[in-house]
Amino acid sequence: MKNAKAKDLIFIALCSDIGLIAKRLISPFANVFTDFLRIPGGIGTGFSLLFLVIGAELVPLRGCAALMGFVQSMIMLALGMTGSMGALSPIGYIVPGIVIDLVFALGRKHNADKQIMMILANMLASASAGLTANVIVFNLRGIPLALYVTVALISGGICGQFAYILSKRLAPLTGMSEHKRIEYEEVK
Amino acid sequence: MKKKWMICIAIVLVAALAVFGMMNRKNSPQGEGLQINSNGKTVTVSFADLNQTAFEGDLVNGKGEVSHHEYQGVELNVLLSANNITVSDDTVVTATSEDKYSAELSGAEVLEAGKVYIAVTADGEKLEGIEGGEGAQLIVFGDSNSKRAVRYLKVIDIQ
Repeated sequence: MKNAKAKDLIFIALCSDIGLIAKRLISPFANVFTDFLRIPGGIGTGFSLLFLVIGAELVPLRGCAALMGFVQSMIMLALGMTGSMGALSPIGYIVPGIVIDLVFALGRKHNADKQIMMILANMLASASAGLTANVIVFNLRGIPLALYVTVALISGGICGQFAYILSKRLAPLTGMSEHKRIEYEEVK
Repeated sequence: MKKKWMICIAIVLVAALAVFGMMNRKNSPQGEGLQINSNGKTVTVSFADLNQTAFEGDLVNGKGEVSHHEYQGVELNVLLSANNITVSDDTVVTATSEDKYSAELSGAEVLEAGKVYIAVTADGEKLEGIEGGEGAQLIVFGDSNSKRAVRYLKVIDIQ
């Protein structure tokens, strides 16, 4: 993280903020589907994590997504918008960030396809966020839990594809394209 | 090859969504009213029958803000007694909503006067179920947040 430039940090701060706002914006729409399926959530989080995946892709620093999750949780705590998780809400934000970092670390190590890596990162992060929320708040078991995780995986997958498309378009604008990753790998 | 794999995974997930979605809706408690499960028996109480008494109190939300509300409903202990269900301090009561959100209460909390209620109206407005119609909400006074204020309340399990 000490190799991070101010531009990188500003970009990941922006991704953290947009992720938080995005979740709030999409929640009413997502609730229409989750109410129909009789589960307490699982869609909005996938959309919110899309921005963490973009941040982790365009700023290839170790622990970038976990840092964004931490920033999000601190913002939510500071604003008192902790939801039903209360003081435990940082766990719900940081765990998906760690999952994204792990997927990216493994993917980069094995030179995985970028699109698959981003979709997989978003899917697994959404599922981990869902499972964390389930342990802390929902206490779902059996079929409702399976449905909840399936919905999280699907929404994560769709949002992962969006993340891939968006990151391709944002890369030239931010100057955080392939050459930067090579530079980062060399520093490491 | 990559595209093939992605399509396969998408098909599996959509199929799982359809199957689990149907099973989840099928397993959801049917009919109007609140379902009370105790000792293997199920009693269904209509929401209209829950509209027995007025009560009011302060609730604390996730931000720590305190707000005062007026409700119509019934105290949970009174409802259980009326249905010949006895609760002791060791009893575990689980309140579950139509969307499977659940909250646990101890028997001691249920027995404490003025603590646990089931509301059918809040501040003069009728509470609705997840798909409209009549609904209920669990109200637990004295909690430090609204985590146990179960909306779309549907099932009370006594163990």
